[in-house]
Amino acid sequence: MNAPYLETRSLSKAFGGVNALADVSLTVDRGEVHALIGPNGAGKSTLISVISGFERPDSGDILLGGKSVIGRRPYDLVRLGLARTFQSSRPVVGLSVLESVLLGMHIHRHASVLDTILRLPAYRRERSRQEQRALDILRTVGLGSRSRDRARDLSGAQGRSLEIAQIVATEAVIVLLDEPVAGMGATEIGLLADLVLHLRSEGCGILLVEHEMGFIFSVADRISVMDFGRVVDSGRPQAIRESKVVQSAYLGSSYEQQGGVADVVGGSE
Amino acid sequence: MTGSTFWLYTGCITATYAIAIIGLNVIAGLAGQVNLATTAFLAFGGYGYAIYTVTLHIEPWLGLVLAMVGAVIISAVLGLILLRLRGYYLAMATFTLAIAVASSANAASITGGAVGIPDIPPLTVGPIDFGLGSQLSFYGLAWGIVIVLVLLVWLANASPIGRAWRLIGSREELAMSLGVSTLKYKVAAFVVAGGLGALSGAMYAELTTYVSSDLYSSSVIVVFMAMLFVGGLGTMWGPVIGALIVTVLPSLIGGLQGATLLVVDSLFLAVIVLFPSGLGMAWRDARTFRYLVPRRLWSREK
Repeated sequence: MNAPYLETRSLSKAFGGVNALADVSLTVDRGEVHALIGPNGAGKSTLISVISGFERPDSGDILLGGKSVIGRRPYDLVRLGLARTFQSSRPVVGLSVLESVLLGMHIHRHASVLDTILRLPAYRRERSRQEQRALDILRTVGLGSRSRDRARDLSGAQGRSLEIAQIVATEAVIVLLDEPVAGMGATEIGLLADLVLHLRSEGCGILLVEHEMGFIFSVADRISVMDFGRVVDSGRPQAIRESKVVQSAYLGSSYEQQGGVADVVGGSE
Repeated sequence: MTGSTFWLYTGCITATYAIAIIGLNVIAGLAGQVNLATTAFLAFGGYGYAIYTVTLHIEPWLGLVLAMVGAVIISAVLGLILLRLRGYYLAMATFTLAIAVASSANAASITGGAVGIPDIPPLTVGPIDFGLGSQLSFYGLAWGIVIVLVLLVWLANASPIGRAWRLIGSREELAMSLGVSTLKYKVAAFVVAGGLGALSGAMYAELTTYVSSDLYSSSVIVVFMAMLFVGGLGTMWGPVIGALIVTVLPSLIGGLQGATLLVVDSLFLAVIVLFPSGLGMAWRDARTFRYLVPRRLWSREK
């Protein structure tokens, strides 16, 4: 299959006369990290909401695995291989870390309601298989020793790793990450970068919305820059680093004073 | 009534209420959806059972089943419409439903108007009579149902179904993005609440041999919410503990007459503020509780 797994074609969306998205076309392929940067209000989060089915575009098309998925609900899209994270990662009340990962396997459950509630063998087999896999995933994201703890006892950074673990559990092909490193320290950002690169090596395509430049340049294969709902530039990280359009739209004058993107820590805020 | 028949009767009422609260706990406590319509489903069960058995002379067991099936169908249809709403909107919609059912019952002739429907026949199995005459058998039946229901809800709660409900309750958008058809799960929980509400309403009618619209008035909604919160929202034994406390407490205090509701309402408010996890889980809030009391009253140090 040569076509990119996720493709948006001329997506537009207006909120009360303001163009949140204007003619946005971009692609995310398997094994690729495509980062989306731009000032607050540029339309990045709207794009994530539209692609993941929470908002409907006014016009344009979204292709997932070659099929148009406009109008599909979020819970159908995940069955077609698209999953996302949210900016807030509040844990679910009363669940353990392991149980939280099992939530991500919701679409892979096949035992009937009766089997499930009465814990008949069909359910128990499925359950032990899924628990084994959930433990494997937790080890991958560095939470292997925390599986029995309550999800709410995890730190903020560990909570985000747990959300990544949930995404892995869905077996999604395309993953949308909405500001995954917000509020994290340098060590935690490094761990998350490793996780994103791991997902990529497993064949996932990742669309990453983020402000943290160091993180973006350590993982991105391609960067698109949004401003006023439009994609104003797109290309290899090196090209974006040197682009005049990007410097004026996003990085601003402070960028030029500091002399390089690599020195801008913490994004535009 | 002598002392022991009084407590037997109170035990029967407690178990009957607990059945409805166990259902309410599934939609409100696990799936996190506001539902003020419990009395509407009690009414569907109570009037359904009364109309089938008294007006249509149907065999009581069949009447009980038909009343529940009717409530399940109604709650599935209403759930599909109402559960698209959230928060205040869902609260107002379900509250309006409860009020509308009670006032319609008060006005319609099929429900006996303001008088209601008397002389509801008892459920029987051979020589065993579950009616007013022999409360011991009703007591056994009702508590048997309660125990089975608590067990089933406990099993469901510990399963992927319960996890999906709690995920919807705390993060609905995440639930959707992980593939949970949120409306389907919310409607399922609403149907459980509706069906058990109807069972409770029918059993109450069977026990007291009488239904009328004041059993389903707006103040009764508060009593049922009080049972849920006093016992502990989202806990497994909370509905039973709450039904027990709210039913028994007024009798223990005694001679309150019109002030009974005031006591229940005050208890409700006190528990919500001091023990938000419910009295069944009071130990969990004990640490929080002391911060509400001036420090010098509990601290001997410094």
